[in-house]
Amino acid sequence: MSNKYYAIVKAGSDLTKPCLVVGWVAQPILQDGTSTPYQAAPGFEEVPLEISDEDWAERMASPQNPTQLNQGKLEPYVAPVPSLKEQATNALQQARLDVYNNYGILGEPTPAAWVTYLRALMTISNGTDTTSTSLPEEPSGSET
Amino acid sequence: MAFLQQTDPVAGQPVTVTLPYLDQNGTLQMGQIKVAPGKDAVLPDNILTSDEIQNYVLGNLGSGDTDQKAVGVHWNGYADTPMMVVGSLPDQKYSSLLGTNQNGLYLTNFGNIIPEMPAQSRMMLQTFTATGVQDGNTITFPQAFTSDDVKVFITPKTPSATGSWSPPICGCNNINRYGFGLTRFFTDGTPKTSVGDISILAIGKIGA
Repeated sequence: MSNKYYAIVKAGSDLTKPCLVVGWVAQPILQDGTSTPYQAAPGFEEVPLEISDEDWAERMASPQNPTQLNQGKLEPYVAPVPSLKEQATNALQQARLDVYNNYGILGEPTPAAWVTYLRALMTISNGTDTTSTSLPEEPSGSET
Repeated sequence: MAFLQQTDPVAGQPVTVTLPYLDQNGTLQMGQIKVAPGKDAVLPDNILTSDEIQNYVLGNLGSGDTDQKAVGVHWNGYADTPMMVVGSLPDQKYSSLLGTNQNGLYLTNFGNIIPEMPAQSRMMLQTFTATGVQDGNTITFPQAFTSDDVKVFITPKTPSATGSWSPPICGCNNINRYGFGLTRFFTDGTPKTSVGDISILAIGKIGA
């Protein structure tokens, strides 16, 4: 191995759980076999990787997709499940777009089922509804 | 009266030296002896000979058969650049030299200014892609820079999936030496959680 490789995570990360990798560092190994330990920038922490030169080169040449470090292994990042409020906000944005594209752009009135759906999403999104535990069901395209 | 004289030295020839001595009567006499020539002197490599200096002054130093000697360098006040004159009349040529003008700007042969990048350490440019990413994702540089002063340029590769084919507007926040936070949203209302591909160009410092 010609380098010592590190994944960079946020300082204080719990390495027993999946951690988002925020950077990559290759530290050269000297002729005597030693390598100057890498010191991560403030707010970050370096985690040595057991990875070959070939695997590292392939990783550097590949798309830099979000990656997580899980028990010393690198794997695609799995984002935490968003809160119901965040889900409602995103669904509301999509629902508004769908309603406009399917009805508003044609000058047609918004079907009642969609109005009900939009209002339900709005109450979750703006924090008025704090009791719902799941999103309302989206109306099918033919519902009016 | 000179008590010690010698003939002019000639390479490889003995030198005749005239020395005073006292004879058996105590009278001062002058005698001559021949001194064998010494070893050939070896000049150090870094010594210029008079021939080399003369060639240098004439502009012939290191000049090949097809080369023309430079006869002078002067300041071209019109172009505001240093200029070298080569050849001889009536076949004189001019060659502007890369130099600085009065404002300290570097100039090319055509008088154009060369951009100056103040860099106390080496710069590195990285180009790479990220696929299937969305607003809020952390995008890592393939190789960390050594300073948080990194310039990032993003080009979206995947247009909106809604059918409008509007490309997302991409930006970044929280840039540091390791990567950045991606901001990515659509002007056609497509949710910013919609994923797509981006190309990134990052310029930053490496080394101490």
